[in-house]
Amino acid sequence: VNPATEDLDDIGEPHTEDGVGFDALFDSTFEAMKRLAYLLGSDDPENVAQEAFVRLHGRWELLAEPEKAKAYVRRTVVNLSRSRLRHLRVTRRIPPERPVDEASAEAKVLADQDHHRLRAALARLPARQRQVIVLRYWLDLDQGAIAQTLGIAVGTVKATTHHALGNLRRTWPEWEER
Amino acid sequence: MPQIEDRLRDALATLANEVPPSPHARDRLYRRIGTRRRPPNSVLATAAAVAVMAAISVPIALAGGDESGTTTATTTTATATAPVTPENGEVLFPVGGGGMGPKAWGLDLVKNVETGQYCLVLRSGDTWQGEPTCIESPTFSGGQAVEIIDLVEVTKDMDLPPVVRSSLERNILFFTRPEVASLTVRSSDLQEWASSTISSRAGEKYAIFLASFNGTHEHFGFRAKNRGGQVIEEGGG
Repeated sequence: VNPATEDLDDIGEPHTEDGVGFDALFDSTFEAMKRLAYLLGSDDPENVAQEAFVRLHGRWELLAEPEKAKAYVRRTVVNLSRSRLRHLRVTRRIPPERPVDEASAEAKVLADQDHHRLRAALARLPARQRQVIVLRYWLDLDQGAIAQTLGIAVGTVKATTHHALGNLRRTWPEWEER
Repeated sequence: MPQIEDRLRDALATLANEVPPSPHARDRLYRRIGTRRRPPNSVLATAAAVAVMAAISVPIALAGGDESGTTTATTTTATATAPVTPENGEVLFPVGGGGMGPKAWGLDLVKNVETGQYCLVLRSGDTWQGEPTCIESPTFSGGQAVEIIDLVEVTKDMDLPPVVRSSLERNILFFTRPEVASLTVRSSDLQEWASSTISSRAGEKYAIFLASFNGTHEHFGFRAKNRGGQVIEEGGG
């Protein structure tokens, strides 16, 4: 069982009184939403997740049902992660006063690990493919929920998943050989 | 189930676990919610504050440089709203829109002198309108000297007139560490370099620069120098 999914499905009925139901939803889903932002490439996932819940709080009167609220937060995290990447990617050159050697040594250690390779592979995917992969295989959303989250058709989800898996197979052929 | 799907689930779960838990996250959330503000409704005197900004024109070319020293990073531009009134708001400089005047729309960068927050406030004539968006304090993580605020991104939830919104595409706001004495920028379509205008404001914790490009700021470059003229940081987006 995916712990992220378990968190999301384990939410009780929210109270209609403002605050109590919201807190339960926050406690149950915040960590998962933070990790979702991270997997989508956000450099500051906690900030993204916090902002999503701030916005949910402002709309709580309209969204005080678990499924609506969860879908809203999920969609907001996806959108915030995507827009920040699109607008704010910056390449820097900093004069060599920083501990470059330390950073590169760490990178070498990580280079052989699967999750490091996956991070690189995900970074190379187009944003939409990355979103579909993360929502499908980490959050365990079905195609309908993915379509709702991304605001696209179910058919587009299927096609995008197919293309994303194809790209990952080419990047990581040994996955199919094991 | 195909092998790749199993592997993906495992690898994504491992990757997600890199994110440490956030103790007291709910406390931070409510502090953040508490900073959300009510709309301002008062008249703002801007002329004196605007008068202090320095504007210079600089034709700049950013050196191609050695890629071995290049790192890729993303800046943070967390947004939140906070109370800003004429009593606690100090206008640093306008960052977009149609300038000054009784019928002009503009977007001002305002410092809340009580909280230290920096907020973007829509101005109609000399009156603030709607809810401002405030920028979280820069952290300069990873040894960075410059944090870049994309005004289009930060203001996307604000109800801005088209003339203001379109002007933001030409402007970028930079927060820098205080030792940054000058910041120069370029805009480029990779063939042609353009002059830019920079407004600056120095403070104890940060220096703030607003770069106004002739066109959009795609493929922009920046170079931050200290008082001695030494390049502290350079890069581009």
